[in-house]
Amino acid sequence: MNKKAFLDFLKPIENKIYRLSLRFLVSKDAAEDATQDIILKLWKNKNKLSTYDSPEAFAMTMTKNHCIDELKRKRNNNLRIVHNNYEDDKKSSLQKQIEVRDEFELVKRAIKNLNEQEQLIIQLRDIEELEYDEIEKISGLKPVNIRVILSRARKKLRQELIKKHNYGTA
Amino acid sequence: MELHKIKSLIEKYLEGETTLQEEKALKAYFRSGDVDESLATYKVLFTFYEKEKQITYEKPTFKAKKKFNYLAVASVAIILLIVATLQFGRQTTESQAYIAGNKELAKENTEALLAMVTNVVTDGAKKLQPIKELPKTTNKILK
Repeated sequence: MNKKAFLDFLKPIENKIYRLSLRFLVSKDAAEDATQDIILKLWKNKNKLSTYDSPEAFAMTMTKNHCIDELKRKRNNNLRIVHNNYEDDKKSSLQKQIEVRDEFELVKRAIKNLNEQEQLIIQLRDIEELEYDEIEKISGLKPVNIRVILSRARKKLRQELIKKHNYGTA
Repeated sequence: MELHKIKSLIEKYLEGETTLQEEKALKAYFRSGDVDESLATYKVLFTFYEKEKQITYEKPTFKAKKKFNYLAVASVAIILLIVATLQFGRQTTESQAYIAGNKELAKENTEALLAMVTNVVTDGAKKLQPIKELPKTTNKILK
């Protein structure tokens, strides 16, 4: 794979890589760093890429693993990700209250409260609108499991939002 | 789409049984703005998903490396060098002439100054002449 072929391959997926990183890592800076790291890794593996069944799925799997590693590393170091507004519920500064009132912020927070697998599946299906077979390749999960996880995640989100919604209006 | 259809689609959606097309239809419905009050929660959710898909990765800006035109750079450097040497050469001859002229002037100035000092000293010496008269009278008395 030469430089041009690599760039052509990268173009349609770099946004997906970035968005998935952003979903997991929350902070824009962290997501940008992760995206750069992943692009570099892909570049180093560029000759192997075409041997994969789906290079795109390979790139997304790499992104998922990279981000989960990153999260683990931060947890082990007892470091919280910078700009992560969602971990500390007790601190309710005025700024935070305003943010929470923002409905989209609420959804974001609800998704962040899902486990990593659920976050991944929601991101791939409901945001990236991928078919199940693609999600299968990326996640390495069986289709049945994907549906179960997806259904559970969607219900959790609904629950969370209805709860918050009612608090908001009551 | 009618409300009951939407509601049954949402049920299917929650079970993870909708196809992509059906999910896109749901998104389109919630985008339309004409949404039933009871479904407000879903409107937030689906519009959020659509908004999230718009996020793009902003590449760090790397400057493209331009090919270096060595010949152009070298010729410019040579021209600059020649101009600089010529300029510098002229400056040195000029300043040397200037310094030479200055030496003459300095010599004249110094001579004038020295002459003045000598005059002052000789003047002073003349004024001190009367002092020689003093011991003459004392000598007369003491004799």
